[in-house]
Amino acid sequence: MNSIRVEDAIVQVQQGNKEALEVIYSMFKAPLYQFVFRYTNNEQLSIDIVQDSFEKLQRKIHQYNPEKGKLKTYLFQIAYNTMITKVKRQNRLRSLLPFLAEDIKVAHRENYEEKWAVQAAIESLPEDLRVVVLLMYYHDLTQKEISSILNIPVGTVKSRLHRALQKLKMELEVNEDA
Amino acid sequence: MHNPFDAEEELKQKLDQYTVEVPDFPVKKARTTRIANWVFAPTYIPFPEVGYKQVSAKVIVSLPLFIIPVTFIPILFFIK
Repeated sequence: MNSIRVEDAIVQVQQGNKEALEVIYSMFKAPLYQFVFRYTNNEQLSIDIVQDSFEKLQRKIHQYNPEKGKLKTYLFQIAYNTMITKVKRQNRLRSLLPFLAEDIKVAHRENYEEKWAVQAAIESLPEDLRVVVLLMYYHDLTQKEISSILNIPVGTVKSRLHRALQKLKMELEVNEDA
Repeated sequence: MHNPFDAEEELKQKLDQYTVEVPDFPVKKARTTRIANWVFAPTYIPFPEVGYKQVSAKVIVSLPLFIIPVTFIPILFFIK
């Protein structure tokens, strides 16, 4: 699907065409779900966040200005903010009701050894470093786009990337000279 | 802009192994589907952010069955 169709779909959604939202959804559902899942490691929560993000997109689509940035960046920003709110609420509930909390991190792991190691390494990164790696490596976003999604300076993105790479290489036992 | 991953071939190979399969789900949450899932499907979690344990959920659901008879115990003291 090319960029012209994305722009057409945006205009149509802005004009109230709900079917056009399905076009945008079919294009961005997978990357958004993958981003949220890699961050939260929780399937049901990821589905919830993606659906909430598209509901918010539909409500806020009139505020979207293509000149300020790509729709992909805008959608990832909505998904990130939604995810952070939900994760914070989850952590608060877990601290209040620890006996109800399940160790989701263990529940969704798969048995493939190498994949598990990578999943565990990403999971072991602090949240601020993890999100930068996910957005840059798995979703090909630029440092500038990441800075606008996370609402932080580009310099901070760079330093977080550097620290995240060091930690990942250590966790995955990657040779420094490679 | 410089991508620091470009120089990390070995790391990239490892990171590429972390694939995520996307389940099929609609764009909107259907209220009826959510209720049906909550009533009939034991795997569905109405508030996933809580991260319930299955046993804990069962205990919570069955608590009224225990509490209701207990609330009637004081009444027994007034029956002559």
